Amino acid sequence: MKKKSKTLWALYKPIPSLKIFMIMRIMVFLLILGVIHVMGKDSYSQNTKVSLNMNDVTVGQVLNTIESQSEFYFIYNPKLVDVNRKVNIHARNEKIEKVLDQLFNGTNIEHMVLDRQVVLSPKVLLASSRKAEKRLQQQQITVTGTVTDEKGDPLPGVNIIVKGTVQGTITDADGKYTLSVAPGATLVFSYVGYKTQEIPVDNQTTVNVTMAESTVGINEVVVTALGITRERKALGYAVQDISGDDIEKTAETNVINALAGKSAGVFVNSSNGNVGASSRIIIRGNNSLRGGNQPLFVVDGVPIDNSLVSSSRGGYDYTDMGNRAADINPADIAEMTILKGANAAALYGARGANGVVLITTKTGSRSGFSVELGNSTTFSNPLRLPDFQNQYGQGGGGQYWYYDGLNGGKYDGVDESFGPELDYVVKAEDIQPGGKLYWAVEAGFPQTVGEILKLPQFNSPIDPVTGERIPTPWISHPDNVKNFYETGIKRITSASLSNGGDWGAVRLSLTNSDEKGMLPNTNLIKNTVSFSGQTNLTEKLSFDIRGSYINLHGNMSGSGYTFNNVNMQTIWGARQVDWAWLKDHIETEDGRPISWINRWHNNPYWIQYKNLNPMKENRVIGKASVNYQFTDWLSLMGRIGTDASNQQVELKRAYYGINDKEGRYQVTNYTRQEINADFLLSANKKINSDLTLRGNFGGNIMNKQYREQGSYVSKLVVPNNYSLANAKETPTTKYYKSEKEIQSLYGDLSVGFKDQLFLDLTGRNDWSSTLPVDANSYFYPSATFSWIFTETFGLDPSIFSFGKIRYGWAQVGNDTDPYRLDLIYSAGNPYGTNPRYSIGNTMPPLKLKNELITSNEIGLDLRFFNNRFGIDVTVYKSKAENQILSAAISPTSGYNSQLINAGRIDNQGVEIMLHTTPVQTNDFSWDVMVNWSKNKNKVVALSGDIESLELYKTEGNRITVVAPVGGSYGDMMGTGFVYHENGKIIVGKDGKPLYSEVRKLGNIMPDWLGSINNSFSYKGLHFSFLIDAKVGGDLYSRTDQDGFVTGTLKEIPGIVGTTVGLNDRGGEIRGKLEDGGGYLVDGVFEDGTPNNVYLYLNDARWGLFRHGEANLYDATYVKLREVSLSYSLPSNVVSKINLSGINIGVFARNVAILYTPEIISFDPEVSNRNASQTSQGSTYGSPPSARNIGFRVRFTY
Amino acid sequence: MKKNILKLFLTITIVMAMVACTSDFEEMNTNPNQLTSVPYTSLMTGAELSVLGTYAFLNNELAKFRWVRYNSRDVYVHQDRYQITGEATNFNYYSGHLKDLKQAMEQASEAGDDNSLAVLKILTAYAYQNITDWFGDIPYSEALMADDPNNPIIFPKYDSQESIYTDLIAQLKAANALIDPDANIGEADVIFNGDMMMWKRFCNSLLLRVYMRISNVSPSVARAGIEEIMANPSTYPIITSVDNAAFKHWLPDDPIYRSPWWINPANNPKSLSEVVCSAFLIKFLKDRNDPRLPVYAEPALNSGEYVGNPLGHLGSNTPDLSIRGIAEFGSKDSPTRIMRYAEVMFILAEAALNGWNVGMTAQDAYEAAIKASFDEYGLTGVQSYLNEPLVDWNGGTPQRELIGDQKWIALYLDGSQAWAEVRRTGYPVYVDVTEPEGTFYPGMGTIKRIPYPYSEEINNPENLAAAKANQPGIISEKFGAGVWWDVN
Repeated sequence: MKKKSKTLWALYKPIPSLKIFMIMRIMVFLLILGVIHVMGKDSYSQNTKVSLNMNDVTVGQVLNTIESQSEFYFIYNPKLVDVNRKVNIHARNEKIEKVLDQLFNGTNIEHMVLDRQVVLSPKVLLASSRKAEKRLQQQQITVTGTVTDEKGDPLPGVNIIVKGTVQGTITDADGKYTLSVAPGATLVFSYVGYKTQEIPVDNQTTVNVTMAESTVGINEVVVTALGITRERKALGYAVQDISGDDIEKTAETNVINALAGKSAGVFVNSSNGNVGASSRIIIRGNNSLRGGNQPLFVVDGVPIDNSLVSSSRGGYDYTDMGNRAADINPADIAEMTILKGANAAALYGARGANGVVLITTKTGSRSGFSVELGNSTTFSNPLRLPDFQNQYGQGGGGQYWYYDGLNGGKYDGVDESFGPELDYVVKAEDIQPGGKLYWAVEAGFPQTVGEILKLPQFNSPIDPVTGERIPTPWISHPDNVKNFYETGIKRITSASLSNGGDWGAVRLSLTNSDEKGMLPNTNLIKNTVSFSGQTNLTEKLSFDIRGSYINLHGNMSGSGYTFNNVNMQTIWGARQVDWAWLKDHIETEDGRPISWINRWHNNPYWIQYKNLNPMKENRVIGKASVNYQFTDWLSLMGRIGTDASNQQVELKRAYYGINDKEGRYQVTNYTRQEINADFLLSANKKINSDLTLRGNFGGNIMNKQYREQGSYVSKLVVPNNYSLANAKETPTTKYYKSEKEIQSLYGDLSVGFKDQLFLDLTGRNDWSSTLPVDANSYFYPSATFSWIFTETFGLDPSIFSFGKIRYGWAQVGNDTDPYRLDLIYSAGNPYGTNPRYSIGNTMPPLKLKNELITSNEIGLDLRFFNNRFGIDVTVYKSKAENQILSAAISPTSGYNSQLINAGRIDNQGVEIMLHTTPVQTNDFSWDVMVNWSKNKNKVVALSGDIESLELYKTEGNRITVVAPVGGSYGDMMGTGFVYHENGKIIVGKDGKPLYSEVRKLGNIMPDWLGSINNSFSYKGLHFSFLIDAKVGGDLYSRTDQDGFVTGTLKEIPGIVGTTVGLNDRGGEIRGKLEDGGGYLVDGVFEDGTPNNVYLYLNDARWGLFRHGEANLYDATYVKLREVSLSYSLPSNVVSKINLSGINIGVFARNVAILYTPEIISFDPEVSNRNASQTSQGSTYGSPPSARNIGFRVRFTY
Repeated sequence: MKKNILKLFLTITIVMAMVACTSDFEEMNTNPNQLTSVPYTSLMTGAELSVLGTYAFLNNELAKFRWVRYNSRDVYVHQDRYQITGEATNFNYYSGHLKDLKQAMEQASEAGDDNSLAVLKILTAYAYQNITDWFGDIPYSEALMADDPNNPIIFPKYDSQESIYTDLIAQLKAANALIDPDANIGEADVIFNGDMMMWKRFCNSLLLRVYMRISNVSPSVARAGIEEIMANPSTYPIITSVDNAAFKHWLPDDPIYRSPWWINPANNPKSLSEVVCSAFLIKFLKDRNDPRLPVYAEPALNSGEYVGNPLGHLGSNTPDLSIRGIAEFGSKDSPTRIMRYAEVMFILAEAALNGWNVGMTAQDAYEAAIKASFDEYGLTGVQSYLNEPLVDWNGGTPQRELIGDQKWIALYLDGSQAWAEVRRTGYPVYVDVTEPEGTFYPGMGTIKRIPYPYSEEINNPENLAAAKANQPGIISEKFGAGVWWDVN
C-alpha cells in the first residue's frame, strides 16, 4: 500500500507536450494533496523523525530507504529528478524536511511535504503549480454521463468519486450523474457487484461508463430463466456464470469444451481431438434413462439446436460431424450462465430438466464508438498415443513375407504383428535346418549372417528381370504412427464494430475461424457474422434485435470402429510398416491405392486424401423483441426467435478402396428449424420500503421441424467424380421429417422483504403434440426461498460479509419425441414388385403420460473478510419419475423394446464453490476458485418387474451398459475373472483365466469432479492455470483389447501386462514353448497354487482375455486443463498509437495428464465415436485428444 | 390508458389463441414417414425372406456349417475353435420374422385366407424347430405376447423342447389340413410363387423331419407319425423328386435379391475367401471317389488340387486350399435348399431300417436318396458310386452309419440340419467326436448347443435360470448335455 503514489503517474493519460503534461499532473496532485492536507488532522510529517547514515549512494537509494523505514512516499518524475546522483547523507532523528534539504542541497529540486506524501520537483515547476492551484479551483468543468450495465440498462446508485478526493456523487434512477471536476481529474466508478473503473476526464464533458460485473460479486445481476435478470442474492437456487473473456482466452471453438472445469456439477467430455469433434455436457448427473441428458442451450432467449450429426454408411464407416452448439461463436459471447437442474430452469419446462446453458451475446456499448480486432493462433498435437511395441513385425508364428498383401505370401494377408523379430541380426545357427530363420531360407530368401534379416516387403523393389520383390531389411519404424499426426493449426480472427449512445447501441462482428486438424487433410472453416442492435423508439417502446449468420465447411475424419478411422489402423497396423513411405506412395499411376496389406486396410494417407467426409452448414440464429414499458413497474415483452440451419454432410469413397471397390457417394441434407414466439408481462413494484413484489406472466409457442433427406450410390461410373448421376445403380434415397409443437403458459411471483427474505413461486403448463390427446396437458410448479441472514443480524461486513441460506423445490414435466404413439412397420426392399414390411421393434405404449422430475435443493452462500473468501455449498436431490423410455425387453416377447412410462431415477449431490483472494494489493491479486461436485445416481425402480434396463453395448460388445434397479445409471455389466481368496485370478488347467458370470464391473459416470483455478494479476499482466480432475468412472478399451490380439501394443495395463520381451523363465513372451518362451497368465489354479502353464501367445491370444473385465480401466484423471498468460499494455503506451487497448496472451489447453491410476495408452477423456450417450465408457482407436498451445492478440480502438 | 387496455386485450387474445389451437396436435403427431398398417401379404413376403436368410444360410457367427466339417476358416479360426458365447447370440428371430408371422396369421385368419394362414404356420414351425434345435428349451407358448391386450407377457417362460415338438407336429398337421392344393396365393409368396401344392409337400416332408428328429426319444410318436404320412399320400403328399423339393430360387440380376450364396468374383475368392473346404470333407469325398467333389469344392488356386483345411487349423493360406464350389454354392442363382428330396429319402431309409412301414426297403430308400443327391447336381454314375466299398449298402459298414454318412454329405452346407443330424445320429463319427484343432475347450468334446444370449440374463433372467435348471448337464453354455432329442 505504501508505494501507491508512484503508480499514480501511470494513470494519467499522457498529453503530447511533456511540459504541459508535467504541469498538469503536478497541479492535479497539488489539488489532491491540498484536499488531503485540509482534511488531515494529524500531520505525520511533523511527528516523524528520520535517521540515515549512508555514503556513496544514489538519491534513489536514499529515497527508497526513507520509504522503507517510514510511511513517507515520494512523488517525482524521474526524468526531472536525477535519482542517480551519488550522495552522502547523515541524519539522526531529523524531520523529513531537514533530510531533504540536505539531500537536494545545491540542486534545483524543491520538495514539498504534505503529510505522508512528498513531492519532488524542479523549483520553477513547483512554484508555478502553486500559483496555478488557486486558478485551477475556479476552472472546474462539469461532467455528465450515464452509467449502464453490460446490457445497456442504466445502473442507479453507482458511486462516483474524483480520485484522491472525497468529492463525488451517485447516479440517479436513470443511471445519470453530474459532477464538477478539474479537467485532468480521474473519476472512480464503483458499485457493489461490479468491477471498479477509473476513467480520466481529459476535458470531456460527457463520460458514459459501462460497468462490468465482477465475478464474485454479491449484488450482481444474473440472467435467469427466460432471460429475466435477477439479483443473485435473491435467488433460491445455484447459478454459475462464466464470462465471455474466460471462454475466449484459450481460443476454444466449441463452447462446451470451454466449460470444462469452470463450474461445479458440470461434466464435460470432449470426444477427441479431431477438428469439429463433438462434446458432451452433463449437469448434475443423468436424469433420463433415454439417453440425451444434455442441457438446453439458449442464446439471447432463443433455444438452439445441439444435435449430434454424423455421416455413416453402417458400422464400419463413421464420421463424427460434431455437436451443433459448437456453431456458436465464442468471440460473440458476453456471458454464459449455467442453470443447474430443475429449480433454476423450472420456467423452461421440460427442455430445461437437464439444466440450461444460457448464452448472452455481446452488445454495443452505449459509451460510444469502438473497434475491436482479435486474432489467435493455436497449435495442436496429440496429447497421448498408445505405446506400441517395436520388437515384432507383421505376420504369424514368427514368419512373414510379402507377395501380394492378399495372403499370397506368408501371412501377408494378416494384419497382425506376430511375425519375425524386427531389426534382428541373423546368426549362423538361425539359417541351419531347424534354425529360427530356416523358413526364410527355405522360401528362397537367403540370409547373411551378421546382417539384419531381409524379407520381401510391400515396399521392397521389384527385380525387373524376375518380377520378384528383392528382400529388404526387416526394420522397425517406432515413430511411424506418431509422425502421421501433423501439427494442427487453428486461426481465429475477429473484428467487431460497436457504437452506442442514448439512442441505443449496435454491434457488428465478423469472425473467421480456420482450423487445420492433426490428421492430414482435415479442416474446418467457420465464418460468423453477428449483429446486435438495441434502440428506444419512444421513451416506453424499445427494440432489441440480434442475430448471427454462421457458415461452416470442412473435411472431417472418421472415428469409431471404422476402416475410415485411421486411428483404428494404428491398432491393427503392422509395426514394421513405414508410414512415411506410404505418404509418398499413395497410389499407382492408374489411381489404385498402394497399401501395406491389400486385404484389410487402405493406405492411411489414401484414406485421408481420397476418402473425404465434407460437411457444410448455413445457420441463422436470431431474435427480435419489443418491450413496452407501461409504467415504471409494468412492461410487456414480445419476442420471436428462430434457429434455422441447413447442413449438408457428404461421404466420398474413392474407387479401388477395399470396402468400396467401385467408390461410393452419399449426401445427406439436414434442415432444422425451431421457432419460438413468446410474450412476457413483467411487473416489478416496491410496495413500501420493506416489501418488493415482482411477477411475470408469459406464454410460448415452440415449433420444431426437422427434415433429413439423404441419397447414396455405392457404385460410381467415373472414378472420383462424386454426384448422384455418376452411378451404376439407382440411388437409394431416404427422406424423414418430423414436427413437434409445445405450447406453454407460465408465470412467476417473487416477494422480497427488506432485501433479505425472498420467496419465488413459479408455475408452468405445457401442451405437447407428442403425447396422447387425453394426456397432453401437464402443469408443474416450483417454489424457492432465500434469506440473507447477515442483513437481518447486521453482522460486521469486514468479517462476515454476506450469508445466505436458500431452499428450492421444483417440478418439471417432460414430453417425448414425435410419432412414438403408434406401431410402425418398417419397409424393406421390395422383392421384385412385392412390397416387404416388418413390424417395428419397439412396442408402442399402451398408455403414455408426461415424465415428471421433482427436485429439491438447499444452499448456503457465505462470504467473509470483505468478500476475500467465499464458499457456496449446494446440496440437491432430484427424482425423475414416469420416464418415457424404450425399455429393452426380451425379443422373445415380440419386441426388442417397449415404450413405457416407468421407473424412477434419483440423483443427489453436493456442489461446492469456493473462492478466495489470498493476496490483493492495488497492483497484484491472486484469486483461487475451487469447484467440487459429487453426484450419486440411483435407479430406484423400472417398469414392473424389470430388474435392469439395457442402455447400450460398448464397443466390442464385451460390456453392456445398464440401469439396474438398486444400481446406478451406467453400470457396466460383463463377464469378469474369477478370483481366488488370495486375490489372484483363477485359471483353468489350460492356464487360461476362468470366466465369471455376468456381473457389475464398473460404471461410466465419475464419482466426483473437481477443479482449481489459480489466477494472478499484476498490473496488466494476468496469469492463470486450471487443474481439473475427474475421479471414478470406468472405460472399456477396445484399443487395448485389440492391441493385445494384434500384438501392436507393448503393455496392456491390468492383468494382461507386457506383451513383448522376456517371461519370468527367461524365454521370449512371444516365443515358442519348446524354446522356454511363452506367456504366463498371472493367476492361480483353483487350489491356489500358482499358474505354471505357459501359452504360445500366437495361438492363445484370440481367446485369452475375452473378459469384459480384462480391458476395463478406471477413467480417473487429473489434468492441467488450461494455462493462460495475458498482458494488457499500459494505456499510456497504447494511446500513443491511437488505440484504447492492446491485450496479448499465450495459452495452452488440455496441457497435460497429471495423473491416471493406471498408465493407460489413451487419454481417459476420449470416447469411442462421438459425444453421444452410446459412445460413453468405451474407446476404440479413438482419435487422440489434442494438446493446444497458442497465442492471441486483441486491439481495441 | 386506452392504448394499454388495447394491448392487454391483444395479450389475452394471444393466450386464447394458444390454448385453442392444440386441436391439430393429433394430426401433427401422425407419422408421415412410416406406415402404421400394412397388408398381411407384405408381412408374409418379409417374413419369408427373413426366414430364408436365418435358417438356411451360411451364418458366420453361428458357425454350424463349419462345426459339421463342411468348411473351415483359414485365418480367424476362433469360432471354429468354439469361441462362441452368449455375447454373440440373440433371440432377434422372435421380434423379427416370428412376430411378423404371428401378426400376419391374425390378419389372414380374420380375412379367412386359409392357404396363407397355412403358409404362415409352416414357416413358423420351420423357424421354431431350427431355434429349439440350436438352443434346447426356448420361449414358445408365452412368446410374442408383449402386446397381447388380454394377457401381456414381457417375460415369457421357456418351454421344454418336448412340448414344443408336440405342438410343432400339431401346427404342421393343422397347416396341411388348411391347404387347398389347387390354390395359388400369388407372388407375395416369394418361396413357391403361391403354389399351394408345393407348400403341402414341404409341410409333410417337414413333418417327416420333425418326427425323425425325435425318433430316439419318442420312437412311438415318430413311428406313428411317419407311418401315417406314408400310408396316406393323398392326405399327406410329400416331396417326391428333385423338382418338387423345397428350393428357393433367387433373382440373379437383382443386386439385393440375387442368391445370398453369391461369392463376388471381384473379391478373388480363391485367394481371398477366408472360408475353405474342410479337410475331412475333401477326404470323405476322395475316399469314396465321389463325383460331387468338383461340385462341392473348387481346386486350390496354387496347386489345382483339392485340398482341405482341418477345422481350427491356423496358418494356411487360401490359395493353397479349396474353396466351396462356385457353380452350385456361390453363383448369383444358387438356390437356397430349404429341404431336399435326398433328405426325405434318407429319413425314409432310416425309418425303414427301424422296421417302420414306409412302403419301401431301407436299401431302396438309401440308394434313391443318393441318386436324388446326384440328380440335384445333374451328376451321373450313381451305380458305380453305390458300389464303392464305403458306400455299398452291404459293404460291411453298419447301415445306420451309412445312412448317417451319406445324409451328411448330401446335406452339404445345410449347416443347421447337418449339425442337428450329426448330434442326433452320431454320424459321421469323426464329425461327432473330433474336437477342432486348437479348441478353446480341450477335452470338452464337440459343441452341443448354441449358448443362450446374454441379453436374456438381463432382460428375462428368471425364466432363463429356470430353463437352465430344467436342462441339467450343460457345461460352459454349449458342451455336456445335448438338447432333449440328442441322447446319442
